[in-house]
Amino acid sequence: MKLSDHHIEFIKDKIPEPYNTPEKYGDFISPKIQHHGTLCTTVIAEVKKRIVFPLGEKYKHRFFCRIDTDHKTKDPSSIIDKIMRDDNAYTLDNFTTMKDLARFRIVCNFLHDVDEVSEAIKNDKLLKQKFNFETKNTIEEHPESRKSAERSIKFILEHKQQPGLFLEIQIMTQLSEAWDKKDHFLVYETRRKKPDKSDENFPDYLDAKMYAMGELLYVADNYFEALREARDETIQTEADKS
Amino acid sequence: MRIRNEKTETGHLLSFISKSDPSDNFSFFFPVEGLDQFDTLLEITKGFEKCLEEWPGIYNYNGYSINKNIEKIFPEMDETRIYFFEQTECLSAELRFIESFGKALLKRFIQKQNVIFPDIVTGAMAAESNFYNRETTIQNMWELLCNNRNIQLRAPRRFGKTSLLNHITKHPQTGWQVCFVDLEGGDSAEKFVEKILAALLVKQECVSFLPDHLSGLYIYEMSQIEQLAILRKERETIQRDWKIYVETIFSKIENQSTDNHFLIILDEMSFLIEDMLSQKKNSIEDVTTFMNWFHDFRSRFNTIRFILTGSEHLPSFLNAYEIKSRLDDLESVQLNLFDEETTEDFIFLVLAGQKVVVSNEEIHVIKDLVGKPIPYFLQLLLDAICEVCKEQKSLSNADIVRIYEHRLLGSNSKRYFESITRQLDRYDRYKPRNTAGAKSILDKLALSDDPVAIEDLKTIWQQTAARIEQFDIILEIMKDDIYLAKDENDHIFIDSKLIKEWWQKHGIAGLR
Repeated sequence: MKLSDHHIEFIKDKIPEPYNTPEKYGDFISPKIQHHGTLCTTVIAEVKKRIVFPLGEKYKHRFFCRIDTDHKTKDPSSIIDKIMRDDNAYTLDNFTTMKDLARFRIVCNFLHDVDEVSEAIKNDKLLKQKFNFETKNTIEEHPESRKSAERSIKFILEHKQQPGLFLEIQIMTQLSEAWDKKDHFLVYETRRKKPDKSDENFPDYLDAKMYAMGELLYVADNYFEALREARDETIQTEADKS
Repeated sequence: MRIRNEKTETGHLLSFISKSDPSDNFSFFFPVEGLDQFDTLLEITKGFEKCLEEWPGIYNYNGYSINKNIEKIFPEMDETRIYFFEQTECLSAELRFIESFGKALLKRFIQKQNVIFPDIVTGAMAAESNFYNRETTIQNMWELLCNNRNIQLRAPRRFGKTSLLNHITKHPQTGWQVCFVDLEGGDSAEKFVEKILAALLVKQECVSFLPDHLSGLYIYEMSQIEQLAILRKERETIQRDWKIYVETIFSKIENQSTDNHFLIILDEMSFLIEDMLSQKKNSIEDVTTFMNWFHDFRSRFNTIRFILTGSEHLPSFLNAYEIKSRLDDLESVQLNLFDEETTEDFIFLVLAGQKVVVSNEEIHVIKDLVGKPIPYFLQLLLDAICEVCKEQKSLSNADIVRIYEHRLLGSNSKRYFESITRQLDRYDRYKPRNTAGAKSILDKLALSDDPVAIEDLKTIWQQTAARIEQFDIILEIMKDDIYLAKDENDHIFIDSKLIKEWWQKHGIAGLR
C-alpha cells in the first residue's frame, strides 16, 4: 500500500527517531511483528499436516481445498493505516495485538468443504491445546447484521502462552474468494486512498452492485452444493444397488 | 549429521533486501513441520535480526510464510540466492540461536563473496571466496608495511601462508602494487634475480620497471614459451652481474613509485637458501654474502617493501648452518590458527555448502577429533566426512570418529603426511643423525601423556648420537614442521592431536 500525505505526517509525528521517515518506519514496525509471521508459518504447517492433507486424501478424486498464503502478515503501511483509522483502538504501543496482523486462508471447493475444514480446525486437539478460539461465521449471517457481502468462517486464534498474539484463519469457497479479491481491488483499496471522501472514489450505487455480486455468488455456491449432493446421492444409490 | 532435504514445501523464508538496491537480496528458507517449531523458528528469526544489527542500515529484513513453492514473494526477489537450511543447523543443544553462525553467514553476503559457502580445499591454495577470515592478520600486515616496515611472515606448515600472500597480491591496499615471487626451484643469487624478473615480466603494470630493452615488448601478452625464451636470453646478462641487474630494476621501481608503494613478496625463501647451500662446497660463504647483500639492499628503498616467508623459519634454519641470517630488521608476523569460534563457523559454513545438516554437537566432535585446526587437516577431515555422508545419507557421531580413524589415520593416509616425513629426512642435511634424533624426540612426545621436560628430550637426543649443539636448532625448526610447542613450564608437547596420533600409529615403528 502506498503511503498518503496523512500517513507520512503520522509517521513523522508519532514514530520515534530515527525511524520517523517513510524510508525507515518499516524498521520500527517489522521487528515487532516477527513472531506473528513465524506463528503463521508453524500453524500453516500444522494445519496442512493434520487437516488439509488428510482431507485431501479423503477426497482425492476431486479438488477439495488449498491453503492460500497471500498477504500473510500485514505490511507496515497497512498497520499505520489501521492505527490511524480505528478511532484510537490501536496505537503504536499496542498494535501488535491487532487480530489480523497474521492470517492465511483456506479456499474450499464447496460450501460442504468449508464446513468440514472448519469442524476439523475447531476440533483439532493440538490447536485447542495451544490457542483460544474466537469464531466469526458470516456465511449464514442474518442480512440485518451483515456489513459486507463477504461470506467466510474466520477463526481468530490467540496463543494461550502469549496472550495478545493473534492469528486469523479464513475459510471460504473459491467463489467467495473471487469476490473478495475483486472487492479488495475495486472498493477496499480505492476507499483507503481517501477515507473521508469514499463517494468520490467509489460511489454508493457501485458499492451496491458489488454487494449484489456477492449475493449472486453465494446463490451459485448453494446451487453447486445442491448439485454436489445430488451427484453424491446418485453415486451412493448406484453403489447400494450393485 | 545428514544430507539436507531440500524438497520441503512448507516453511519460513527470511529475506534480506538491500535498502539502496532492492535487486541485491538473498533469502534463507527454513522448512517447518508444525506448531512445535514455533519457538525455535522465532528464535532463529529474531537471531538473524540481532545479527543484522552488526551491519545497520544495509538490509531490510522480512519473514514470509511459504506454503508451497517459493515464487516471487517480492518483485525484485533473486530466486538464485535462496539458501535452504534446517533449524538444527543454527541452534545449540539448548535450542538457542548460534549468533556466531548467523554473523559468519551474513558476513559472507556483506563482503559480497562470489561463493557464500567456502569449498573444501585439500592441498591447493585457498583463493578468493575460499580464502576465509584472515582480515585481522592482513590489516596488521598492511599497517606495518605502511609504517615502512618489512615483514617476515612466520607460520608452521599447512597454516595457509601462501594462500594469505596470494590474497594480499590479488587485493592490494589502495596505492600499492604487489608482485609475488615464488623462489622454489632457485639455487643461486642469479636465480633469485631471475625469479624476480620472471614475476615482473608477466605483470602488465610492471612493464615500466623492466630493463629498457624489455619494456616495450608486451611480454605479459606473450605465451609462456616466448616468455621463457626471453628469460633464457636475460640469464646471460644476469649471470654477468646479478647485483647490477637487480639493482637497476629496483631503482626503476623506486624512482617511478613516488606516489605509490611497491610490495615484493618473496615466498619459499628457505628453499632458495637451502638449495644454494647444497650446490657447492663454499656455499656457506656465498649464502652469508648473499644475506649481507640482501640486508643492505632492502634498506635502500623508501617506496619498496618486502615480505619474506618460507616453509621453514629462516633464522632457525640458517642458524642450523651457523649462518647469520641478517633478518633482524624484519618485523615478524605470526600467522595463527583460527580461534575456536572461527573454526566452528568455518565448519558450519563448509558443511552447509555441501548440503550437510550438522548440529553444533557434531561440530564439536569434529573439532575435538582434529585438535588444533590446522587448515589442511581440518579440510581433509571435512572432505572425508562429506564424501561418506553423501554415500550413506546420514552419519552418527561414531561414524564421524570412524572416518577420522580410517581416513585420516588409516593405512592409506600416508600421502597426507608426506611433507612432514620429507621434512624430517631433510634434517640430516644440516648435520648427520639429526633425523634420527628428531624421530626419537617425536617417539617420546607421542607416547607421553604430558609435556616432556627439555632436559629429558636432550638426553634422548644424545642417546641417538646426534650432536648436542644441533638440539636447540632442530627443536626450534620442529616447531614449524611438526607443530611442537612449549607449555608454561617450558615443557615440550606435540601441539596437534592429529599429528600425535598419526605418529603413534605410523611413526614409532620406523627405524632410527
